[in-house]
Amino acid sequence: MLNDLSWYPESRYSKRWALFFFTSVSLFFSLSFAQANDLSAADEPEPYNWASSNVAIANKHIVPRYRSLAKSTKKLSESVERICVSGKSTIINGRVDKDFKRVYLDWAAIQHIKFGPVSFLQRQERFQYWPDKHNSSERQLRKLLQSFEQNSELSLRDFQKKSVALQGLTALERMLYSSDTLISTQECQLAELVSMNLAQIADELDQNWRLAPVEYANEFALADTGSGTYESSDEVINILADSLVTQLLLISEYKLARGLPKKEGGRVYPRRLEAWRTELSLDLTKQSISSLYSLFKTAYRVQLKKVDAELYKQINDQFKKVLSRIKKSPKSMSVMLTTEQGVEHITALKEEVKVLELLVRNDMFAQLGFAKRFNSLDGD
Amino acid sequence: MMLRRDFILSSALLGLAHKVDAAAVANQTEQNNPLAVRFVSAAKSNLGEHFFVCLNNQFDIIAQHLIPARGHSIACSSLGHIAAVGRRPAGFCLVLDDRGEKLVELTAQAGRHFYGHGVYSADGATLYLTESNYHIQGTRGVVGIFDVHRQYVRVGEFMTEGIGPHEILLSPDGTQLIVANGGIQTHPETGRKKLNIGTMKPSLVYLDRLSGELVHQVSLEDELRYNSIRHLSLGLDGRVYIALQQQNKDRTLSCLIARFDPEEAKLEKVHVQPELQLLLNGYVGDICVDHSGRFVAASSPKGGIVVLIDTQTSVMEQVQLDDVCGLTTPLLRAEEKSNLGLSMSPGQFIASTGQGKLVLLELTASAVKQTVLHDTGGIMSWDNHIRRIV
Repeated sequence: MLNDLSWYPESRYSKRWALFFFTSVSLFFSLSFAQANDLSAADEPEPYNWASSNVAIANKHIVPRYRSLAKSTKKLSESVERICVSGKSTIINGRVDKDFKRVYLDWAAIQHIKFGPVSFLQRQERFQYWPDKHNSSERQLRKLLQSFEQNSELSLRDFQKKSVALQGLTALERMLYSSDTLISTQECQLAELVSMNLAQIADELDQNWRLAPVEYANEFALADTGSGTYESSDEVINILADSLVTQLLLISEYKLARGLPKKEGGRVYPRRLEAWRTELSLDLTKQSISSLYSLFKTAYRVQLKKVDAELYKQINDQFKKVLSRIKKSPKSMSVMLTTEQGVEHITALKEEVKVLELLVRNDMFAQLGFAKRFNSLDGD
Repeated sequence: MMLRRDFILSSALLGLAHKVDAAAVANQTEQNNPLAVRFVSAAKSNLGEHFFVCLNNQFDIIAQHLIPARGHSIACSSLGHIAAVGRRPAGFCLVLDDRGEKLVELTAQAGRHFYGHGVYSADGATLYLTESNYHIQGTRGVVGIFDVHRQYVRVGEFMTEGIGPHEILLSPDGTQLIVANGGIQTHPETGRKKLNIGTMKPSLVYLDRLSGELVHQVSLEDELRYNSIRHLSLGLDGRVYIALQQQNKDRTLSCLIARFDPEEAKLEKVHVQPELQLLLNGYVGDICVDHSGRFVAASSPKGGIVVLIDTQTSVMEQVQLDDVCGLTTPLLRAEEKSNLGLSMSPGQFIASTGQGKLVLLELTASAVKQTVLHDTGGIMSWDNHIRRIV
């Protein structure tokens, strides 16, 4: 199964929303990069061999998280299967609820890794289609459920050929947590397919990182030998750095910003939040930040401390500050959006994440000799 | 029975044909139409999303299409169609009209994926895309054939007599397809992992456009078999300039630019000075012959340089350009050049970079002049290739 477009929700890629976004924030980024250029004028950092750090990230950061995801999705698939009794409507029990939330949190802990096996066969978007700017999951689910009323025979293989908007967490959350707690036979059947699909994707990710023939963790070790996917350890650490800053940007611009009003005192958008039905949005943000903090320490602590101990402390403190602010937040982001104080709190959190992102993107990149690179990595 | 989707497409094609006729007699105002697509490139946003981006003659973004994975290269037709192909191992290709509006989406057949490049026949009636048939042992390179007038239905395929077909061109007389068989075996289930480096056999092939019959197949000498033949550009004299990517680390043996003369059926290395060779860092990402046919530009994103070659004198100039890759020629129309303050002199190229810059490179008597034509401010990275829409 490949990333063909017919399989991709039409409205998502044909619209030009991003034109506005790029225009509106370009000035901000131009200024940020100007700052980065100033910093890059500093003394050239000494070359550092990132090989051992990369291997540690593969084995201690990435592999265990995919393992956890494989386990939790398998558990969820089993518990959904158990509640779906043919021909009857059912109620989501505590076990399904707990297993679903575990899967979402496990995914948040590894979703910043956007290269390697997760990029094969469009697994990333099949696992979670979000932000769903045009409500594609809802529309396509409704259509599929209607067709299910006539004929509910659909194999997992055929289901996996359907739109990515149907295949992952966003669609499953909609089925399990729609306003009425009673879910129909058709919804249950579809929920089973989605949870089986998630379990299969997570199992493939787990195996692809650890085992032959892909054994992607080994690609990090092979980086300097000339016989692997990567040209050098330097290339790997740059890709990881890019993963770190991209996820920080996604957190500030999407996970936190999507529910906020466009202008002061304006309308709020609680249904644009990541997991608004389960009220998990803030927990997912926290999980993602915690995981990025762990990546930062595993990957960059030793060298950054050596090169610029003050900057290391600054970034470390900023991570702690963000996590502490989340800890002090009320649990529900949707509830926070209902008050002025809550909106201010999320806005402040968003700004703190932005500061963190810029510290990493500009200052850390400059100190460690990383560049914003794209074509020079993984060409074709 | 004609489906609604087919009807819409047929209508769009009819409408487009009408527009193309009109364009043939267009006045200068039409040529400078800011709504017409003149350049297309794939791009990646800071948020990790991928697009095909259309720019007009002022280098303003006039359309962009979100795509599910990295895009790669672009083909344009005499009918004004633009085929924007997903990057290996993608299974998507967007066909746009000359205003950047989507006409149709192509999906790779089961067991196939696209390689990121395509070319139209001279009459614009057929699109050819390089593909991999990975259902068979060892995979096989093919050229997928799509009938433009039948809603781009896939009507057949030719073997490329090699693995990993990448860039594809049309010969100057329009009768042959020129295909770069990169030689590297990959499989969608193992992503971009190279599965056959030890046995790779890159080649350049010429296929009869109608029958698919093999006309020429040439390879580099055995010691250079780790140099994947990847990107191509056609000179006015019919010679093909070839960009190579080295798959081993022995930079001393490297030949990264080659040239094939179909008249003499001869493949020869383009000798690059040793210090430049080292700067290319084993990798040429794109290659382009200028509108005069005399100058060739070759980019190395891994080296952060563009090498400009005078094919008459063999003199080479280099330009440092961080994260550069895409190369194309500027607009050809004199009126447009004049409006933009550009000259018609030879040795002009547009280079795109991962930092979001489109840079005009102009060979002058004393140096290579660089002018930034567009800058996304880092918000968007231009992906591997940019193509001018004729």
